[in-house]
Amino acid sequence: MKTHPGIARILSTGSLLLAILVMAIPASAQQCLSMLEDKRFTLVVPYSPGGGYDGYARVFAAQFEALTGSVMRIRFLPGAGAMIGINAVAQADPSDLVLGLFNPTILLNNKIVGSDSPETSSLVLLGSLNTDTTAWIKKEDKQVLFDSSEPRLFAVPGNSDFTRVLLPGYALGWNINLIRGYTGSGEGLFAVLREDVDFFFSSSISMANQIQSLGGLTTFMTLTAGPDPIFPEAAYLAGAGGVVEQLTRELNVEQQRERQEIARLSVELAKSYRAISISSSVDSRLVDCLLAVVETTIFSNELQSVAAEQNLTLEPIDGTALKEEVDRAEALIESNWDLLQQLVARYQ
Amino acid sequence: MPYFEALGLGVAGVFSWPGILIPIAGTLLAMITSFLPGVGSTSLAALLLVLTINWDRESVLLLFGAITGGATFMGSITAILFNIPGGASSTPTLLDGYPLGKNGYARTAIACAATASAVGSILGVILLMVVLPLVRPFLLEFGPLERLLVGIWGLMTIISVPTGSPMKASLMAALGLVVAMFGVDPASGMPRWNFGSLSLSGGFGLVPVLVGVFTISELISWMRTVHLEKAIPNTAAPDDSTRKGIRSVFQHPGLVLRSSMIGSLVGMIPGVGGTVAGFVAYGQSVQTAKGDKTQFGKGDIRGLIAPEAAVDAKDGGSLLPALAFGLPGSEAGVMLLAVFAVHGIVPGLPMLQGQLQLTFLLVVALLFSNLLTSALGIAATPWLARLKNLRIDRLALPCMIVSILALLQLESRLLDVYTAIGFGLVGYFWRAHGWPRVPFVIAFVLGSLIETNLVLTSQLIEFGRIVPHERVASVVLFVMIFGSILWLRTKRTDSERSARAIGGDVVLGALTTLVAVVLALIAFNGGAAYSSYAKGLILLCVGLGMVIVGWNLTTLHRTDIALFHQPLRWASHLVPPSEQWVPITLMALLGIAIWITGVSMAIGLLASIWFFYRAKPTLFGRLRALAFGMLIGFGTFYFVNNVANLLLPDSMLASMLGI
Repeated sequence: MKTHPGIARILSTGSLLLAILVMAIPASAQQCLSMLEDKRFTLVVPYSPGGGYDGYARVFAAQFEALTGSVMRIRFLPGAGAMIGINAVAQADPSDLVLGLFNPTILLNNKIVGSDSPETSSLVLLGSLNTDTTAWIKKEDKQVLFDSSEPRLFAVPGNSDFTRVLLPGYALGWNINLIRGYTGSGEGLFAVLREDVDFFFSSSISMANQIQSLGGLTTFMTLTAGPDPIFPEAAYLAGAGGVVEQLTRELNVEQQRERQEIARLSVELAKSYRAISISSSVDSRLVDCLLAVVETTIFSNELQSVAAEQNLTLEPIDGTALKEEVDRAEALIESNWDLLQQLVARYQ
Repeated sequence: MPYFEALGLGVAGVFSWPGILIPIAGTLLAMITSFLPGVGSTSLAALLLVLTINWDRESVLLLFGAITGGATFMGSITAILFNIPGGASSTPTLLDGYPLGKNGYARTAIACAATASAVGSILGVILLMVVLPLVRPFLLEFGPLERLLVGIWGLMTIISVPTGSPMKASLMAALGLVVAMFGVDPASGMPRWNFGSLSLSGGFGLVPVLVGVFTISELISWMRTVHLEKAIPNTAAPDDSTRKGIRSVFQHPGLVLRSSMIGSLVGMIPGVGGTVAGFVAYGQSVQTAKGDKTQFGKGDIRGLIAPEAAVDAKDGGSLLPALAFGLPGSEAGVMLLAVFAVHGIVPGLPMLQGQLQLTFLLVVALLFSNLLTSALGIAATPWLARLKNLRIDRLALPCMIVSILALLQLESRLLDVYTAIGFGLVGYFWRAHGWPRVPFVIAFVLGSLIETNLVLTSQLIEFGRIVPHERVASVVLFVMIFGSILWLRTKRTDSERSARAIGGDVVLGALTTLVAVVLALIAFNGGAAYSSYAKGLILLCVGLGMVIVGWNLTTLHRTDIALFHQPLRWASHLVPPSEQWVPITLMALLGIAIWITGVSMAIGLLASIWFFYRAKPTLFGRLRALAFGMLIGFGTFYFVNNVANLLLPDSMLASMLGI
């Protein structure tokens, strides 16, 4: 068997790097290591193997194991819009040591549209491997007139179309028709290429790879409040110079305020995190320990280099900062609850 | 990179030393695991993805190409010998493969299947290499309308499946389509017939349904309280031979070529899948066969050649959406994309241009694996054929336990086990009373494809984005479907003439109608989640069920008037033979026991009771039986908790006791 150039070198220096890594761990995390050693963890990924979360789960689990001396097994539990896996984490027995890797803003989307799902308070967010935004995609040679009232067809897979399509669509004042039933992001992109539909949406990071693979597609807008670093050429939804700001200049102040508020809300809700979480029923000492260890894991140089080798983007956020971001989005939902419910009622 | 240079590099990569050991190892691994029900090449690939994370990308592609190709043929052996398909794509092999084995032609059938697989895979790979430069425009032709038509074309295969009663076959097909709708409505995303269960929101899995309908129902019939039964009679036909099986493939070159082309082309269409390819090829083999067609379904070698050639030919094609667009068009495609992601390979245009040699490396490894599997299969035919001599009453329990654990390995869902047990019990009665299971399975496999694409097509037509008659592929598919319907008109008379009423049909028909009525009531009160398609199909089930009951009652009225006056005698038509009561009761109780006590204890209990019942009536015999049962229970516990580390919900007992 041939080996990748450099692999042997990496393996031979692996123990040295690990030693340096362990030395760099803060004292509180050091104390946790003995608590987690030889424990058996399960990392639940509520999607099918091979998807966008798969690679992140593998590199995180390997690094977590190396750091703690524990065993972390990955279980893929797809189905019901990720709810089967998320429920498995939220309802897991505390002694089973079940972590989850999924996007917690799914729960916020479900809350708005009234779908059954666990409360965000039923989970403790331990940290996030990266934050992603949403990109809107079109065929390369198709012109997009932002101020047109023409009907536009959007391919929609899954169940997050309210926060990623309809809500920003309302902020833009667009006449959007959803074509529902696509079974995955690949199918949606295919539909755009075939011109069955006009647009499709997906997370920016995975979209960058898929656009390269497919060819003939481009991101024309991102659901951000400024230029997206992945697609700096694309228009952006909210903030100064954003599409909504430009489109609402002629409207009265009240209408401008409402549309721009919706745009800001869309940006917050369109963010997705590859977040590690655990049931809030777990013992608080273990939670504190995991917060420290997960933070050490996701910020480690070792994880960065392994992720880079596998073409995975890492932008870690610690548990406390992640919770603040999710809480902020939840507070925005609460303060705009009536308007959101009106919109949900309109589209249903 | 020039096309032939890349091809040469691909071939050289596979046949390099020690590189060739990788596809050999991958093929052998795939062959071994494909013998286990429910453990397909996808599970193996997921495991190997982790183990090979530090390998270089050429080695990994060699391994994954071999795994994709190695598993396909082996599933056919269990189908031929035991009437149990090793995987979903082996299901069409049951139709004529098992009858051939049963009639004493096990060697012929296995050698024929191996040869047809080898030839099919070669033709499939040749076609793949020819279309590779043109693949993008070809795949873009296949939108929702075309996929819908492929699904309907596949459904037409049911017409070709031999059955004593077209009415029962129609009801079974409608039931298959209805069962495929459980879970979520693809358009609204709202739950449909999920009975409040979150697990059921994902619908019934294909593997659990197949394991239930074919494997568990078969195992129940093996588990008899009397000691008997070999898999199929030990008396091989005098002219049964490996050579005859090989020769039969080359005696039907047109059939092999047509089936391989169908397999390869259907396999290329994203989201359609290889099982459909096998059924479609079987359908065309019946429709285009010359001479005597009466043996189809009873052991016609042509009915074995067609699906085997098609299913192996589809292997290469099924990777195309992943290679050309980075889209997971099949299960194999999903794993391949995971491999690409982990090893930094960019699928799509780069794989067809700058990295063409990697594409050919994968394809040649797949071809090599297909050929190696077939060669080993042919070489081992005499030994494989001897498996029919095994004491199947002793094999049944271990097979049952392996099946259940394999299902749990899939997604750690107890629902999958309950599904398999439920469909196993129902499948047993369907089998015992001649209700054809194959139309049910074909419709179930195709149900989601048909409904999803029907929903998309109708929306796109409504918005003027699809004009059916302007699309070449859809016109061709329309013609093919129309041809199948015309063929149906000529066949219908024969089928109806051969139809006979069976006593148990009244009870089975009545129960089916009752279930369908309940589902219909839910559907008509369920709101937007239940589309006109869903409501129409369930009403069709009610109608067909009532017709079957009515037709059989008329027959019974003539022969057994007392039935009307003694309702209790109705049930007697369903009562199985006395030696099957214990296994049927045990299987029914197994589901309840799993819910109450958990998987390990339930399996231990099942094994203890089964061994106890069959033990010699001595104290030592009984104690030994109980000890065996407990040992199996502990073994299962160890596997679940320490080997597989399954994430199973607590049993009711554990929750009550707080353990």
